[in-house]
Amino acid sequence: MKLKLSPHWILLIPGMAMMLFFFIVPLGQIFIISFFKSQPDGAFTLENYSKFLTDSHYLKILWRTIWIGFVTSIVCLVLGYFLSYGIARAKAKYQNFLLLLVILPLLTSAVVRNFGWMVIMGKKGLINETLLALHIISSPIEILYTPLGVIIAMTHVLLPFMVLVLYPILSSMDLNIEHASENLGASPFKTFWLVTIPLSLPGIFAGTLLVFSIAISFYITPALIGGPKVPVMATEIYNQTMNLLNWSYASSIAVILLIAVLLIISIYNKMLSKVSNQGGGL
Amino acid sequence: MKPISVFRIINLFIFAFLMAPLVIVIATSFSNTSYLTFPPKGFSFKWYEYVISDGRYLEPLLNSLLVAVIATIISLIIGTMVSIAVVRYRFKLKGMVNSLFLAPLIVPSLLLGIGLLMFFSKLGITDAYIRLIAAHCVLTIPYVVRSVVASLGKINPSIEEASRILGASPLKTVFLVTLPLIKPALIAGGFFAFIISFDELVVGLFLTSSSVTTLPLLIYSDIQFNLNPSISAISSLLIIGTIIIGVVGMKFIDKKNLY
Repeated sequence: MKLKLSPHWILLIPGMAMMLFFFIVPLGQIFIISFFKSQPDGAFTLENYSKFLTDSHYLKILWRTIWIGFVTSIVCLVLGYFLSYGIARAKAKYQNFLLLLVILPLLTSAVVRNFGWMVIMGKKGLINETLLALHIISSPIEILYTPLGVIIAMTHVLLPFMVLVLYPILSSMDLNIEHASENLGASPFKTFWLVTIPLSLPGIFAGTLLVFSIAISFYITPALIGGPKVPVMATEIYNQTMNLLNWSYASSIAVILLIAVLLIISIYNKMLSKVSNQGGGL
Repeated sequence: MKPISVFRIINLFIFAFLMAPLVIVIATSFSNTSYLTFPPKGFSFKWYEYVISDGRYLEPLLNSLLVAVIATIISLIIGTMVSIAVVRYRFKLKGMVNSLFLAPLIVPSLLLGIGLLMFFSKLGITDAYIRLIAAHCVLTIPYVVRSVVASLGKINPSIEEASRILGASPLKTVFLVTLPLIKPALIAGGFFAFIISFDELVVGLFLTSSSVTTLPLLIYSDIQFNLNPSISAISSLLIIGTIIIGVVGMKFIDKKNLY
């Protein structure tokens, strides 16, 4: 009997092999190793998980990761909504240019952007030098290496993602609905609050969830702007893997983070499918 | 003041916020001092001269370019094959196959870094180039698949059928009909793949050795241990390069469906 492989599987073989070896197996390995003691003869254990979820040091890191992510996504939502609304209601010929301005920072290296923020926030940076010159403060304030600094820089990195979710929704909205509201006597503010915002609610949830899921797993900004003073889950995973060489423990934190991200993204996809049928989901 | 103008002023501030770090980096790159300060003192090109004449940036730059080019080519080939299979054929588990190739967008790259570190250590693969190219292919393939799948879906399959009926082989049809039709999607996917790979830092932190490093990794370690205006100069060159590639690349990209 001749075994005939159908054409689609032939097309898929190289891709599937690549994903199996360099994606599924490595991630599976993280999952398996997280249930074993880190010694070479390690036995099955749930210790890694119970340690992270009971030790107050690690609970603080977990809590910090969540609230920094939360504040970042709310700030991104507010700023992103302003931007997306402004771009969506701008003259058609300017829209592409304005979008390009939003996307350009996304294309430049995240290391470079965070470096820019370090120059702005540092002891001799733009903010401190300006405030000192204006005599608003008498000695430099600490922004770099604080959660505030991490939130500012991370908002900058993640804002374009918010716009990319909100803009298509706001620009495809039927303007006649807004006009109808105004014709019926509502003020522009009232129209915005009672018509535009409710219509874009699924987009608001989707964008916030997307930004939150990236924020809690983001490494570069907490590492550079936060430093050792502001440890979050991502930097702790790196620390446990590369400095303490405790791969089992690092893996258990990684699994917790991954489960959180997957849960959030599945809600995000549900929200997004409500507003578009074009399948803009991840 | 009218609410419209308040709104415009707020938006102007947000755009300024978006541009601020890029502008600041470029401004400090012309500094005359040996330390980073704002406002920069003096004006000189000496840090650019240093970056270009000093060899330490050259090798990491070439490494980054080499890895990015190879990863982009592999991603384009494999990604296009996957996309054709997903769009043009019916088979079981199609939804799962499609999600699998988009999954690296969701999984934090940090996790891929640790996973691959353990995987390669176990297999004894120590070559940094192989490690990086493998990792970057996984990270970049979703961008190719997403853009090519969207483009293939819009092409009428009858055009390909016509080519087959007129006697072209399936392979000939792909090269003479399908690929030319999806060229903009290939450019867009390849563009994103290249940028993602070239700028990649996190996975590289886990997979590179001290002898082989990439440009983002060198900048990252300089920021932590060797802070001076040369970082601004090399970063400015990267920003300007990205803007040029970005403006050209954006012509091919459907901005409304990026996410």
